Amino acid sequence: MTARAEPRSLFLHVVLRVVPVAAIVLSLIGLSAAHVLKQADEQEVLGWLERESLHVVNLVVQPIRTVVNEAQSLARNDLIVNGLIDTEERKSYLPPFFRSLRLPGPDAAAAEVALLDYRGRIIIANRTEPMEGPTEAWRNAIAAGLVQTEVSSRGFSVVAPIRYLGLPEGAILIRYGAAQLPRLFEVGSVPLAIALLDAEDRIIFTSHSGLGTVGKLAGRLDPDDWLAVEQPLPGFRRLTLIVAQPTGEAFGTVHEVRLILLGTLLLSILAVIATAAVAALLATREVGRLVRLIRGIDSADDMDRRLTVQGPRELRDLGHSFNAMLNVLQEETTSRHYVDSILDSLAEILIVATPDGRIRTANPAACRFLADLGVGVDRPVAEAFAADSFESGADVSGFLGRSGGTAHLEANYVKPSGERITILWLKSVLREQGSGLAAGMVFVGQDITERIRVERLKSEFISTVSHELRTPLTSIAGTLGLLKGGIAGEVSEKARELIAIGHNNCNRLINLINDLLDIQKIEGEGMEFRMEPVALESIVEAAVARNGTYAAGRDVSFTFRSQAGGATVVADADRLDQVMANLLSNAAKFSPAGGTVGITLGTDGSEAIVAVADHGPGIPYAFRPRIFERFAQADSSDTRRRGGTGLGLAIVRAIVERHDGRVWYESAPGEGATFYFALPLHHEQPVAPAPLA
Amino acid sequence: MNTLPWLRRLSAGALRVVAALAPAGPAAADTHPLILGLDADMTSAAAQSGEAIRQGAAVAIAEINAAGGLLGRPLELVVRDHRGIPARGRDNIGEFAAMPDLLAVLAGSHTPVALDELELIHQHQILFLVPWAAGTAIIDNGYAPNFAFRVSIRDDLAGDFLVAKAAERGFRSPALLLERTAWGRSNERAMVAAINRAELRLARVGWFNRGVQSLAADLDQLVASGADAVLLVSGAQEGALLVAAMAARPPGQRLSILSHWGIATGDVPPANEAVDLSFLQTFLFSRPPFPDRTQRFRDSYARVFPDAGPPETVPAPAGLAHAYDVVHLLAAAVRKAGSTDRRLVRDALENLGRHEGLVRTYDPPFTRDRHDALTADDFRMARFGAGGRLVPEAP
Repeated sequence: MTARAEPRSLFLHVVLRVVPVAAIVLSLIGLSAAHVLKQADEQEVLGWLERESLHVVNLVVQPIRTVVNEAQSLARNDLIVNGLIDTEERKSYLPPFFRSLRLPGPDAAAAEVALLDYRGRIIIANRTEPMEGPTEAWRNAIAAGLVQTEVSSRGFSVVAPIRYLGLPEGAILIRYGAAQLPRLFEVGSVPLAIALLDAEDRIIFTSHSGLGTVGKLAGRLDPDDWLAVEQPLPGFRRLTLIVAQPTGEAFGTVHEVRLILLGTLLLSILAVIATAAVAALLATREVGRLVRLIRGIDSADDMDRRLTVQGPRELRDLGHSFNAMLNVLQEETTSRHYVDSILDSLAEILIVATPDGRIRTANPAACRFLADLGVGVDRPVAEAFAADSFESGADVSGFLGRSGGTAHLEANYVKPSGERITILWLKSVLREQGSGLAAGMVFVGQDITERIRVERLKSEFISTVSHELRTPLTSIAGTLGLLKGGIAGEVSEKARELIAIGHNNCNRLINLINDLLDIQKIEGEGMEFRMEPVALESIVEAAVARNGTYAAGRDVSFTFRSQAGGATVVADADRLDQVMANLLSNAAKFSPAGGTVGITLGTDGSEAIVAVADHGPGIPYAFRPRIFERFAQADSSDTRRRGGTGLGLAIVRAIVERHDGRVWYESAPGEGATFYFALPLHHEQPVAPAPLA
Repeated sequence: MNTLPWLRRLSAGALRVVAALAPAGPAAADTHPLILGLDADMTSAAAQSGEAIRQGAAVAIAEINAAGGLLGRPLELVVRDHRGIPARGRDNIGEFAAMPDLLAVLAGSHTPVALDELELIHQHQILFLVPWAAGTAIIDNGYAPNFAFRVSIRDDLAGDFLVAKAAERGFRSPALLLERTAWGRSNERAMVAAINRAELRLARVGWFNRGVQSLAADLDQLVASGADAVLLVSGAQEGALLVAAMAARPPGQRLSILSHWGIATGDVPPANEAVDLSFLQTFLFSRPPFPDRTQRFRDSYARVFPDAGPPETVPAPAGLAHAYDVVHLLAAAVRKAGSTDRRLVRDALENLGRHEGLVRTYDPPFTRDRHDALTADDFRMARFGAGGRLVPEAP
């Protein structure tokens, strides 16, 4: 035996489920019906027996009544009365007269008819053989002048007194022997067993030996054998009529009905089995057709095929649903291919890792990259940042460990060929739709080696050009300054004006070049910062003072207020001065004449914050996104109107960020602008760890 | 005894009467009363005939006992009622037969009963004295010795007499209507023979049953037969039915009824006045053959029945006279026999000498071959008169 049986067929499945239930239900219905029918039939049989018994009572009583009436009628007949007196001739006419009577019973001669005298003695009879009598009962009946009827095991007799002139002078006797009673009562016409019992339950007569013996006491009838009804005989208080039927006979119909029911039940069960089998076969055939059709669609190439929708409604629905599903599947498959082809054609490295950092998906570029690194595509993604060829000293663990938002990392690699490449990694967390739980990590790597190289070339070009330009310019400016100073003699006013214009523009050009060089150096890290703890207040104060002249030239005054006199930061004092100069000159430039620029120094405990607030026109919204970018000015005309290179704020940001600080602003159009920069406070002593909140 | 209570009372009453009449005579060897039985209808349709017989016998007994009884023994009347039913009569005879001192039995008015008793009578050799029943065969019974003696009408003679009376009255085509009993048949024989002898036309012989409820249809048949008179043989009960049926006919279509005397054994038919009804009688107090003897009887009757009216008021007076005469004939026979042995008395009855009776002078009353004491000379026709008294038909 195998441990697991083969799954049942649908046909067997249906049949095995339907047939037992149907069989049980049908059996219950059949048995209930049989039970109800049996009871109803028993009632019916009993009712029938009851009615039949009344009929039998009538059969018995009717002849008795007829005989009694006949006897009474005879007793009034004057020929009979005459017979009491006519001793001479009565023998000649009474017997024939008696014999001519039409008495009940199949044979008139069966009855004894006799004329009794006043003491009940038989005077004359229809029979020649001697008759039994007289009896005390007859004598008493005649003396009392009352009709006497006796039904006993001796038979049935009626004595009807003959009254002559008011007194009973004799009687008419009509008597049937016990053996004649069944025929008299015509019980043969009744298909039932009948017994007549006297007051002592002695059997007077019976039509069936099963009910007992005539003259003997009637025993109790076994209810298993007999269905019996007792009826009193009207007019015979002491007599009881038993009408019985053998139970087998009585309930023959019941048995028959039960057999028919049983047969019907069996046939019904067979019909149910057959119906279930046919139904299952039909269903199975349709389902089988569907299964064959579905089996035909077992590859993507078959996905254009569709089921032929036909058959019963349910199967049609199934076909429609299946076809709809195929449509969806086909669309999904097509879009996946599309995405796959996009990913395949992507130059960027794309790695999708599981939440625990294992590589799950890698596009061809990634595969090549990883192959170059010697990292298998089934390895943890971290190995891409710890390979032998990985050169970067940047914060790899911070990058990999970051769980929210996106993270950047520039990483340098040395290819097996010895080529150095820089990859800019962008990591983002993949979240499940709906739950928002991390489903994995997406790493996109971009080879920026070329870009860095071009940037570097550009910087070097600018630096070189600036250096090359500054030297002659400085010379030109000096020369123009000398000319303006009159070193070459007096020049005309006209010429002096021109020289001054030239000198100013030359200086502007020099400033521009200086700024360019500065920012180049700062961004390109070509500038050395002399970082040391410095008192920020003095630096700011000095910068305010130094630039006050420039502001005054524009009729703008500075006010400085320090709230952090002892604030110390690790910084390059000169560069901070440069930051302040740029911020203050900007503020002065954009302040209206007679305006005031407020400079404040504060601290929030971890940072020292410097704010420079002017009351100028504010920063236009359109300009705000690129305010810290190079050559950024709100209005290009401003450059010429207010002076400046458009590099000031870019330099400010570059310097502050080199100090691990922050720079931002607050502005409302028409109400001026406030620029802030914040630097981490330097503590002489290592600060005690803050108590855990 | 299985007799009815009233019958027993009646018997006791009779005994008391006899005891009262019994003289305190000298002690004899055997002073046990001799029993004279009366077996008659005392309570039914012919009860009046029975009572008349009883009274007649009682008067005779009283006279006999007053004269010292029979052989020194008083005579005692014991009455049994047979109601006209032979079965009762036979039982009564059986009872009488069992009585050791029984001397004789007086029969009643019913021929069928008497005929049915003959067997027992002769079996027990009982003297059977018949003061009323007329059936010829009661006397011509074939028994030898014959114990039956009659002082009454004999049907043979009655038939001749009635037919003769009918012929006298001009009826040429009489019809017979008879009860279906031995008595009816006894008269049929006699009447048919008489009609034949008289050369009359017998219109029809009709029979009816005792106990019949109406004779109208029978009468219709008689009328339809062309009868001009009806010769009736019936008891009082059925006779009254014929009278009623006749009275119910239109006056012009009524037939004369000439009846045997059975019709006068009981109550007077209610409708008799509307019908021409005459019937056979013998002795009538209104025209006694021997007035002196009748007067003596009246005296005796008054002594015995002091509270009763004159004897002519007794219905069925013939019963009185016949019974009176036959009891005296019995007494004479006992004296003649010198014994109460019934066989000897019977023989003596056949050999009695002249006896002056109330009805006639018997000379001799009976012979060996003639046990009928009366002849047609003693017959007459009578009618119901005022108060039911019988009056002789006007000659």
